[in-house]
Amino acid sequence: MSFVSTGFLLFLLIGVIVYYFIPKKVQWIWLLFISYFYYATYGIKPMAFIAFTTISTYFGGRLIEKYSNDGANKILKNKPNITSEEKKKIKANTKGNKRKVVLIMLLFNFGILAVLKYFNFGVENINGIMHRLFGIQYTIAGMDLLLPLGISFYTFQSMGYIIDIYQGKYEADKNIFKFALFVSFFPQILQGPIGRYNRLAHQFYEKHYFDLTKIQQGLQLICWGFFKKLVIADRAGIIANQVFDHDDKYAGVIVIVGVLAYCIQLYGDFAGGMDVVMGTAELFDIKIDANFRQPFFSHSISEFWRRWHITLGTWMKDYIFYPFSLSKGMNKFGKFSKKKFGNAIGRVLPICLADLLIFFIVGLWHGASWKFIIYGLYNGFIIAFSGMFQPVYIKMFEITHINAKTRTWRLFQIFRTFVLINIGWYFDRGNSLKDAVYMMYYSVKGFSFSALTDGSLLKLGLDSLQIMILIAACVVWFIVSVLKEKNIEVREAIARRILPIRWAIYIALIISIPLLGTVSAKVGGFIYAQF
Amino acid sequence: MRNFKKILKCIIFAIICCIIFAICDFIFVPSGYVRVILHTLNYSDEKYDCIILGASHGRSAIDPYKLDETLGTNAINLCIPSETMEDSYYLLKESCRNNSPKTVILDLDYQYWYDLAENDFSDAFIYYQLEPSKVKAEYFFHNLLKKDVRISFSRWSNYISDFKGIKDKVSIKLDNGYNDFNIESAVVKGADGPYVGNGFFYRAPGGHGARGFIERRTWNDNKVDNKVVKQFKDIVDYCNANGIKLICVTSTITPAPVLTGTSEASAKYFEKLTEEYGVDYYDFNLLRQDVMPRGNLDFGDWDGHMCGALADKYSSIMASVIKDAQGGSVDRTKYFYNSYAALYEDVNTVVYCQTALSIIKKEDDTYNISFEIDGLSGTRVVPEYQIIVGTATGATVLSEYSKQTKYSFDLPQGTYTIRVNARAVGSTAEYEEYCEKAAVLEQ
Repeated sequence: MSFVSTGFLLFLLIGVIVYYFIPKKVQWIWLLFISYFYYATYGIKPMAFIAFTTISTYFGGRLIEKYSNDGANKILKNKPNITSEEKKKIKANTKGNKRKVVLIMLLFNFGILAVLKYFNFGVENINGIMHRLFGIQYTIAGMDLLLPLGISFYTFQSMGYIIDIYQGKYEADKNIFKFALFVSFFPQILQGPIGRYNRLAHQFYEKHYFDLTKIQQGLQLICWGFFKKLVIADRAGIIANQVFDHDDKYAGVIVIVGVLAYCIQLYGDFAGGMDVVMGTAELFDIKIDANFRQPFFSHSISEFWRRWHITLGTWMKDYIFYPFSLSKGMNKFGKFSKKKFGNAIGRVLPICLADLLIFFIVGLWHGASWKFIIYGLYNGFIIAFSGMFQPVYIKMFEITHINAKTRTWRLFQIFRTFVLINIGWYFDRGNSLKDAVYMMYYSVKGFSFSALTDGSLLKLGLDSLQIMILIAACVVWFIVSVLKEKNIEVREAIARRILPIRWAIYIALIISIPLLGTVSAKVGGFIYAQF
Repeated sequence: MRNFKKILKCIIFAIICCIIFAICDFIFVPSGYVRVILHTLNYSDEKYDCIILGASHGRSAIDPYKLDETLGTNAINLCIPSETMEDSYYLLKESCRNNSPKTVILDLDYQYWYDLAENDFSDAFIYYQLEPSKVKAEYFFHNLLKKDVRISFSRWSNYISDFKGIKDKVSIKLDNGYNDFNIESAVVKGADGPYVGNGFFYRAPGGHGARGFIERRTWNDNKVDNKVVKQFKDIVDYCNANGIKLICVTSTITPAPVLTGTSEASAKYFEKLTEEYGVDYYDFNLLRQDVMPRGNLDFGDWDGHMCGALADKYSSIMASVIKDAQGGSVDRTKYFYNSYAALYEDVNTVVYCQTALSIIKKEDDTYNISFEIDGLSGTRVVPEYQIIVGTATGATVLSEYSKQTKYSFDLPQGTYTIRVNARAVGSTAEYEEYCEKAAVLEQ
């Protein structure tokens, strides 16, 4: 049931009405029911996977907590007689048991994800290596595997929970059904954001009273999301698809236009989807984490990743980056690096390695293909490189007397980051790694601006009116983004206007969706819903 | 009180939005003929007892009045261009709201059994024409829930590019004729002929030769959309449950595309399917030439839309077949060839020729033109082709009639018409089919 389908609209309507009419105590049960109902509309089989993740994570969490409590009780009970040696032993024993459970949980759940998502990719590569390096003609057969929708999102969300329990950040959920709701809450199950238990779960169990203002705000956000998705992203997608799917036909500036169109498509699609998700959650009086914060105003790639797909970034940071970079091995490596390369490089080298690891995983998370791995590593290398050469930059600024705080320099940084990000899209959207490199080469070869004026642009699937609509819609979005960047909350600013102006804005937004939105056979499919 | 005010404001806001949507619908959506037909179906004094369902082939081929003459029925043709099996099912149900049909003739067109585009505005076309009823609600819940929300609630967004047409659309809708459901007030596309009544249009003859390419679609049983089969089953079940006699037919299409073999392959599938469900099926492409002589010119296009004159003959023959069936049994040999092989053998002319030019500029500033001719004819016919090059001043025969199908020759700069005449070897006709291609050879 796509967010833009008629069914979803009706589902939402019924969902919200019933939610506020039933006793507050059972609101979460209704949410759980409609979440599973929503997921079931994509098929019954995938439900087995989400149920497995829910059950295993729930019991895993409980077991970890039990080990913690047992260990603590043991120490408490024998407090007067226990020696510090014995205390240490109990603690080590408890930690060992907890670690075992976490490892099993991670292995099982990420194992399922890995098999379903990456098995065929692995087989393909093994076959390639056997064939090319050893001349072995035997090929391992791939499998026709079902990839449950949203598996990457709910697996990451659940594993975040289990690691937090292990680290003792909060107590494990006592109620399996309440926990099931945390895993399966329908607005975010398909394309995130990746929620955190401590910020999300308690909201489900609170009493929620009908508040018209919140409903209005939720609907506004949904409409704004649809505007980004249907008016901007789907329209830009026509150009992007034309260029990327016929990469042998285009060169020079047209390829660059295609990449920019993809940039708009991806951002509009994902950010629009997130607005619909957040707006939908708001209708149920649930606040979920934002996934975007005007990413194209970033001054560096690392800042971009703090503003783009924020919940994935913070997940990676909390559960991979810190544990990895603070591990004993990396500690030793840091000391070794400091000895070998000096203090400055030695200090940043472990961080660079951690960045590369993170972005390798981010790339792989995007899909089972080398182009995604390269996409991730490309970003990782830039961040690692920037970190490593930070002292050099500072020196260069001193020598050249560049003031890094000036507006011009900041604008240059934003532009530079934008260019670097767009280079990454070649790998992300290219049909293969080879195609991406080929397109990069042809972007430069035979570059001339004449293609912008000789009518070639109008052969990419949009006529001049359509292009004007796209540009105008992007300008509106840009203005809203600038305001948000200046901490002006647009929704609240509109709410303060007099009624006729307020309503005119709302009506214009609503009408613009059918009036200016594009409808195609592929409409409704959100790009990130396939992860 | 404050909450009441807030809610009231929301209601007013929603009403304003609805009014704007209604205005957009009024000014953007053209007035089609289907609403007129459905109004006739629901509000005619005489109730209909024979319903004809199908898509555009059925609309131009089956004259309900001719059926009435032979069968004594009161028939109405509800074949609508792009009507899917799903649409047919709901139109059948709609028919039963105010009529008591005893017979349903369902025209099976293979083009609607696979490769169906999803999420297109045309998916909801019939839905919008139905008046509010249980049938419409059922249609909505069964078919539109998975569709884009704009398809269900703002069909006008499909017509917004036609700004220039707003004035005409509005004036038509403000006309009394529109409110009185007069066909004159409806914009009818693709019927290519006057409206006779009860859903039938009398199509005028089409052109010869320059009708473009036949779309070669390869039928494959495995490609059949299971959804369509399910919807067909729904129609069968509905007819069985309501004591309605269902007769499936495939109306005769233009001879040329029949020779591509797709009709034969699809008919085999339909035969098997209808047999499985215990439904009578008649493939009228197999009609004997002596029973209904026909050529390409009896159809408006290659797709198979029958012209009015042949449609009347065809409808009478169809009625006779049905009458014979009602009488006990149909002597199929009286009407039909026993196989497609026999049909192909009986075609003694070339029925189709087409080509695409490949033009290459040479170093000496002349142009090389090459092409291969694609022809269709009966199995006993050997086709031959004549090539004529036309200029503004006259025409020259470049190649006399021969069996050769590939040609290559050079021409100097200029504007030409390349005409290929085709006929059967041994024929004395100037040509039986032809095609023409323009060749503009300039710097």
